Parts: sequence; structure tokens; C-alpha cells
Amino acid sequence: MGIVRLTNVTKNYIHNKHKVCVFNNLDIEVNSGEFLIIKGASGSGKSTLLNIIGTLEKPTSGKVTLFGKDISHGGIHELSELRLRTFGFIYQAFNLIHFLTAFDNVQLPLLLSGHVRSAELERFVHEMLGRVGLAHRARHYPAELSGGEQQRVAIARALVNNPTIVLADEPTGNLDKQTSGEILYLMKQLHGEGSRTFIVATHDDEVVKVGTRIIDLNYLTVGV
Amino acid sequence: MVYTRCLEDLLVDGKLIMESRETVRVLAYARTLTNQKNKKARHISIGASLLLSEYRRGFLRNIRNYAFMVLIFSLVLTFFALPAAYYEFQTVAYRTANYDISLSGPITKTDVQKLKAYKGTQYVLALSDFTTDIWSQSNHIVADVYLVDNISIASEALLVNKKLLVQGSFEPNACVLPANLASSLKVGIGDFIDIKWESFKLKSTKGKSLRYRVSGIVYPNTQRDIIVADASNKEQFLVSLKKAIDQENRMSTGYSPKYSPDYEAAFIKLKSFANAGSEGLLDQLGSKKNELIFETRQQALKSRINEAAKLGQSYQFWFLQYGALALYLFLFLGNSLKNIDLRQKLYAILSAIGANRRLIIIHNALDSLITNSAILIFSIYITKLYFRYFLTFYLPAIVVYKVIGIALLVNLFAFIISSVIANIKLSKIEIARLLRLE
Repeated sequence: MGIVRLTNVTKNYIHNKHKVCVFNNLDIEVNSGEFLIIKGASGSGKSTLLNIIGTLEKPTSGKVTLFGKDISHGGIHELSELRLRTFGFIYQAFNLIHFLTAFDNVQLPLLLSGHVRSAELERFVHEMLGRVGLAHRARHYPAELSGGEQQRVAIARALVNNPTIVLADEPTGNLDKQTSGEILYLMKQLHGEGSRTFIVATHDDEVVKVGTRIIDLNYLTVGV
Repeated sequence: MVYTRCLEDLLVDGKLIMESRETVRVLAYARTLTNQKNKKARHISIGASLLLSEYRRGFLRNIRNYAFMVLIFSLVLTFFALPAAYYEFQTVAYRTANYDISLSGPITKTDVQKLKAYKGTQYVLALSDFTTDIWSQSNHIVADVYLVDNISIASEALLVNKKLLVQGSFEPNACVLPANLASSLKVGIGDFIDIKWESFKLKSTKGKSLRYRVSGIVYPNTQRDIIVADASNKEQFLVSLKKAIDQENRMSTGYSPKYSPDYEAAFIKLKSFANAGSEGLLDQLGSKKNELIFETRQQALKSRINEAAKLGQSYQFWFLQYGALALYLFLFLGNSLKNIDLRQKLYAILSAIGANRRLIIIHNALDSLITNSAILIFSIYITKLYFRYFLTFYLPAIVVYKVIGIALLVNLFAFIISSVIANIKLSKIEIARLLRLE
């Protein structure tokens, strides 16, 4: 069943007074529980596509629906609420808050949603850090962690609110081969634990291998 | 509140008495209201805890910036408070002293008797005035000393009077001095000072001294170097001291004045200044009146007010005031914008996690409020120090209130402007681009 559907989605932006088309009339459907890989060369619009699905960017035209509801033109408060409840983001640059410990970084989405009682919060966060193998690094700041460990914290933060969809943009882009393998294994393991949907943008063939379905933007995109 | 009432109406002993579509609607609305209230409180609490963590990790990085802003803002406050403080400094003694006419020059006991005999006179305070050496245990200075024979009248009439007391009181056999002299001599209430005449370099004054306990400290003002001491039981000492000084001076200079003065100044209070007239009073002294300098308190006050007004009217001073204010606002707004730029990535991460714009605005506003308040408190304190140690003025309460008022107004203005600019900037943050940055 399609939980996300993109219909005739076009994304343009203006660069040096010239219109640049990232993709044109894109039709994509994402099914519940799949590990979807969005593949493509640099500049093919993988990140933009993830951002549009994750409501961080708006399409120039077309429609994006989530569980049948149009989210392409939502208000800022409605969309932030949607990101909090439905999406978990993982980035190539980790995007951890540098002045917060691993524990505090993971705790933040829980605090924002306000759904977990403060008494249970600590147990919840420790459990999540334990699942990514970092319970012993809870009180460390990002600068004190390796790249792989930072990405594990980012994964824990993305999953702590139990999102329906996890969006990962080049999650292994900043990691060495061995660490990339560990992160992929972890993501696959976490995907296998529930009915969560993973959408991963990558140009790394190792990542492509773990997907249950692959969309190659090189063949879908019509650049102008 | 309306919905709380509705809910109360629907409850009997804590149980819902009916289940209707209306009940569900009321309950849903009540829940929404509670959620909204909780959400606001949660945003403030998350914003504050994020700020605390950020300050803990990076406070020292910004401290130089903030210290510089505190210095500039205290200069702004100093420049804006200066006219009022200077006005106080120039006029407060003349506004609070309860005399009408002052005479200075060689005054004898006979002159004082004549002045007292005048029908319009309420009181006459004659005094011996020396510019001489004052010693404490730890320091010595040169200052004017008024040795008065009635400390009670002195506490009303003189330019150093009881309305200017910061500490203590006017007491018999004791002295009162301005705060700046007390600070130079490092004395407080209950300490002792010695009045000596060593700098006269005369045989007759060598070794002579008067010891006084400090019973009061007054605000400094234009008459700031005056110490008032009770000499009501030192008459013999003063008579013999003055005679000895007079004789020695006559011998060394060869100049022989017509008489030896008993006093150097007199402060006169009239029963009714307007009706009695000063000419009638001075006529009591006959031709002697030409040897004395006469000034009414009103004349002195007027000239001080004119003097004080010059500062506020100066174009250069106006330029300093508004120049410093513009510099501070420029620094404050620049710092606020820089902070937003530095926090763009943080705000992008928070947005991606699902924080709504309100949290980001609250976080930014809290930071602005905290830094604003810190700058405000430190600046007011440093302004007080500027006045005390650099300008040697004490800030009277009225000027302190003015300083606080100006500080609040300027900071409120800066806060509003920076919040408006911050909101515009925050609405333009490109979240997706920032999240791609390393």
C-alpha cells in the first residue's frame, strides 16, 4: 500500500537568474515497510526529493500525499508537527547538536513531542542508545565521538520517536568502508525490527544492494 | 474558561452524566487548550535548557563581546545620566542649605552681634574657616575645615548639611565630612581625624592639633572639600591659635591689619527674606560691609544652575551621547544577527527534528532577553562605579532611577528591533541547504 505518493512533482530553482530544473513531472509511490533506495549521480536531485517527501522543501508544482493527505502545501506548524510524528532524518553530515551530549541529542525529539513522561524518558533514551550500541557513550559530546558513532547517535535520534518513515540522505557518505558496512547493517537490522519504511538516497553501490526497491533518478529525471 | 464551566456542568461527583456529541466536542476542545498551554510551557523549557547547554559549552567564547558591550552601554548610561548628576552635583548643596545670605571676609564678634541684633534675623552662624592638613591613621590630605560654634544650626544652614547625609548624623564634639574625603582618608563613622596646621610652617602652630570623631558622611558636591566640625568648646583654643598666627604674620610680613578677625564666614537666616531685605541687614555693619563678600543663596543657586545647564547644551556632549547610543545599538544588533547566523544550523536541525517555529523564536528571544538583562545589570553597576571613582560623583537616588529608566528603555528598544529582525531572518532560513553543510 502506498503511504507516500508523488504525482507530477516538478522542482525548479533559480540560479544566477536562470531557471534550473531538478526534476520534472515525477511520479513515485512509496510502499509501507519497504527499504527504498533512491539512486542517482550527484546533482540528480536525490536530496531534493528526500527533502520534498520530508516536507523540508516544497515542490514547484505537483502533489505530495502522505497517507492520502496532501502535504505539499501545508502550513509551517502543521508540517513541523508532521516531521516530529512521522519522519526521522539521517544525514551525511550527521547534524548532531554540538553542545548537547549523545543522550541529550537523542532525547530532544521526545521532549518536543512531549509524549513520554519524564520518569520514563531516561530509560527510553538509554534503551535507544543501547540499540545502536552506544549506551556507554551517552554522556559524550559529538566532538568526542568518531564519525561512525556520531552517525549511530543520529540514527538513534531519528528513530527514538518511532517514526513511520526514516529518510536517510547519503548516510554513509562521510564514513570509511568498514564503518559504512556497520551502519548499513544497523539500519537494515532496525528496518527488520518493525514495519518502518526507509527511504535512502545514495550513489554508493554497497548501500544500493540492501534496498528492497531501487528508483534510479538518472532515468526518471528530465532536466531542462 | 467557558469550556471549563461546561465541563463542570457535565460532571457529577467527578463522573460524566451524559455522553453526547456536545460532550465529546467540549472534551476535545478542553484537551486542545491544555495541549496548547503545555506546548508553550514545553517550548520555553526546551528553549531554556538548550540555551543553558549552549552557554555551558561556549560561554567564554562570547564573554569578550559581551564585556565590550557592557563597557559601551555603561558609557551610554554615563553620558545620559551626566547632565542630571552634574545638576545635582552643582546645585544640591544650595538647594538644601537653609540660609539666605552668606558673608565671607574678616568678621568680628561685634559684627556678629550686630547681625544678630537686626530685627529680621532668625539666626547667624559664624565660623572659622581654615584650609589645612587633615590626618587619619592611614593618610593625610589638605581640605577646608569649618569650625562652628553651633553644630545644630550648622546641620541646617551650611552647604554641608543633614539633608546630604549618606551615613551618620551631625553630633556635638564630632565632625562630618564628604564621602570622597572619607574615602581619601580611609575613614568611616566612629574613626578619628586630626586637624593640624603644619603646612602653615609657623612656630605658633607647630604641634597644635584638634582631634575629632567622624559622626557623619555626606554626598560630595561642588563644596566637596569642606569638613564641618563642632568647635563650641574650642573657643579658647581658636582664639589663642588665631592670635598667634596673626602675630607671627604681622612680624614676618610687616603688614598690620586694622583688626584680628574672629571668624572668616557667616551664614544668616532671615525671618522673611523677601520682606526684610538684605540691604537693611548689611547696613548694621556700617562701612565694614565693603570689606566683606556678600552673596544670597538664591544668587549662588542661580549661577550653579546656569553652570549645570551648559553641559546639556553643549553640541559636543550631545554628539557623545547619541554617538555612544548609536554605537551600542549597532553592536547589539550586529551581535544578535551574528548569533542568528551562528545558530542557523542549529535551527535547521531543530526544524528537521520537528521543532516548530515558535520554539526557535522563543529560543532566540530568551537568549536576547538573558544577554539583555545581563548587559543591563552589569552596565548599571559599572555606571555607578564610573560615577564614584572616575567622576568622583555619588549618584543620588533620583539619578539612579533615571539611569535604570534609560537602560530599560534603550534595551527594550534594542530587544524589540532585534526580535523583529531575527523573525524576518529566521523565516528565510534555508533548512535543506543548511542540513547538507558539513
